[in-house]
Amino acid sequence: MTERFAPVPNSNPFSCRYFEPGMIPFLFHDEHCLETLADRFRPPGNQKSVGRWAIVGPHGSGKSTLLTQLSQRLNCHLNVLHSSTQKLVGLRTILRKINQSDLCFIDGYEQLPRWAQLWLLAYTQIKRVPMCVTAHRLPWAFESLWQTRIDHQVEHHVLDCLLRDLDPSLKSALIESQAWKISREKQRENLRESLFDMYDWWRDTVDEYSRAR
Amino acid sequence: MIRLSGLQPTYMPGENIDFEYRVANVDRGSIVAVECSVCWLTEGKGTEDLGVHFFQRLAGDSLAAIDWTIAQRISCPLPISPLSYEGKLLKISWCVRVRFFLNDGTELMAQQPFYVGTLTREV
Amino acid sequence: MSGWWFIGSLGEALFFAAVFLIGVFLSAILISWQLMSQSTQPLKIWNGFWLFLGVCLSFAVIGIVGFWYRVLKVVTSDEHREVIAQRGIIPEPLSGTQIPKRTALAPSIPDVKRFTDSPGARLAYRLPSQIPENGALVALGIFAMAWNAMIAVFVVLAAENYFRDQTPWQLLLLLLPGIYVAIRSARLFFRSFIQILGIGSTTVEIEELPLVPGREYHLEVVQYGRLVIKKIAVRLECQEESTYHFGTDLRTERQTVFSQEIASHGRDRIDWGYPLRLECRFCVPEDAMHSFQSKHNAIHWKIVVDGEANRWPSYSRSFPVLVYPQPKSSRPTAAS
Repeated sequence: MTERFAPVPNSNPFSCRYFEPGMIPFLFHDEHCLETLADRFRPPGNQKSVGRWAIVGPHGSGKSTLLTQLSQRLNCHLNVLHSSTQKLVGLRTILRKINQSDLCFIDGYEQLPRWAQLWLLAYTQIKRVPMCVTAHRLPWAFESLWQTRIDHQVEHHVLDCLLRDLDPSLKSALIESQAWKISREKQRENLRESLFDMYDWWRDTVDEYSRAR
Repeated sequence: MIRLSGLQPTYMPGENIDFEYRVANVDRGSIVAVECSVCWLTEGKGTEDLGVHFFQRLAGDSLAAIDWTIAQRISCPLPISPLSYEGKLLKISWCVRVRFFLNDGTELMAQQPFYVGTLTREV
Repeated sequence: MSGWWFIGSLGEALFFAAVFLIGVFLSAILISWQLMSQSTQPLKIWNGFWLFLGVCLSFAVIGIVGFWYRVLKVVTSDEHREVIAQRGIIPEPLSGTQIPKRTALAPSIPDVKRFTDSPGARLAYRLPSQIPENGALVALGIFAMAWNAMIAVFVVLAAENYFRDQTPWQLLLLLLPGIYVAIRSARLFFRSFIQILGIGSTTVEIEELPLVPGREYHLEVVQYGRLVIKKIAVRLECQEESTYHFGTDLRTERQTVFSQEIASHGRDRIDWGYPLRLECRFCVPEDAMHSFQSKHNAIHWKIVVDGEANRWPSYSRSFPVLVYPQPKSSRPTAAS
């Protein structure tokens, strides 16, 4: 987990800097762990795998978090594509990185246009480089590595991480709050959006209370 | 362990910031590089933005010439903006950061926040 | 003057739009006649053809120039054009200030040039409008004009084929939705144009920029048009804006953190040539935060004009201003 610095006095724990991908460790529900997933990219012996894996899930469900941690564990470069990334520049960067690495990790694979995806598939096939990507739906020619989902266990885990240095009663107050319940009901699979909602709750209740005192 | 000293809690825009840093319990020979910066950053519901106002990196010969038994002094004038701010969606804060890069790959960091101007809340 | 101006402006715009379409029609007929006639040469290519083509194209050019002259005359005021013509250069602020004007000296504050590149008629600066209402009208007009011209050419081609006993069914089928879009775009444009003619433009002029907390400024709001307003209010507003961008997730949130009414005016009648002028003085709060702009976060200050009018929809127009930090503040005893 990335070290957490709070350069802002009275920092709001729901500021997006604290839950950006990589800041909160991914929670595995069963016997799976990061190591077993990483093993898929380390085939036994010298044989080179050209597997194509996808981490699939809705917005704000932890896809980028899992891929970030996986790339850190395997010590490989993670290509992050935003909707504002120029497609050609993004593709050229990925192709350059493929030549320098034996793994190709892409966060936001759907940002690439179809022709670029096909190009990438062909290129990694020729170079025999395994791929791992995040997507909202399973992309063509990929196998599912992990399906991310949000449940109470994940919610508690995320809140524990965000509020770990603070008074434990704050967490229970938050979970009991109407704002949290309404937000979870509304946002459903998108936990990140609920965390944004709780930024306002924290500012209007906890910060205001501290100021008043 | 890095120790920052001499920083005031508040500076006015355009004023000079003076501070010192020193390192303890670290083998001097293991220090590969030292970075010292004065920067502002945003925090809130938007992606964090960082503005580096002052940056100094010591490495190689410039690092070898440093006597680590005495505190290293940094002084620079602050700009007139941005001022420290606590709003509804964003906060702007200033801090001093010192990073030590060691030859085993580890990194030590110390930082201390300060205010520029009187802290402005949402109007 | 009032009613006739409204009808005249609209009539002129319609007339020139019609001239443009006639020009395009005639040009298309002439070219298709020349190219498609197989047996005879109806016009000599170097003489009559170019002469007739020149006349037809001049119709289109007169139409396009006249149309846009009329439309732009409505969306920019006479005074504004006059001041730019007279002064030639952007004026200096009326009163001197010690505030540095270069962004480099005030990092993370937007460049003041963007706000001061338009001179005012009475006060130093005319503030740029944030809502690209006029820009949208011009864009819509260009689209409607280009689309109608294209459809006119295809109509001529279809008619040409029809008179040769070769009914172009495929082209006609394609033309039907094309004509529908042409009519709708022209209708939408003229509706927006009528609305702008009615409500008219709003201009805001200010005596000095950038603004500094604690100082007082003179502001003038002029509402043009021909309408009966129920209420017009001018507000000074501060808005925070934060954008979170990761992967496909892009969310921008805005929140108004300060809003103060600085002037208001009750029921009144505005007519062409007799705009409503509101003059006021306002003060940026002493403890206000300055304007701020970074990659994902911003603090914007603006003057907002809200209007309610009879028979027209309510409108709100924003005019961004720039607030600088106070040049020299006294040292506080402790941070709050």
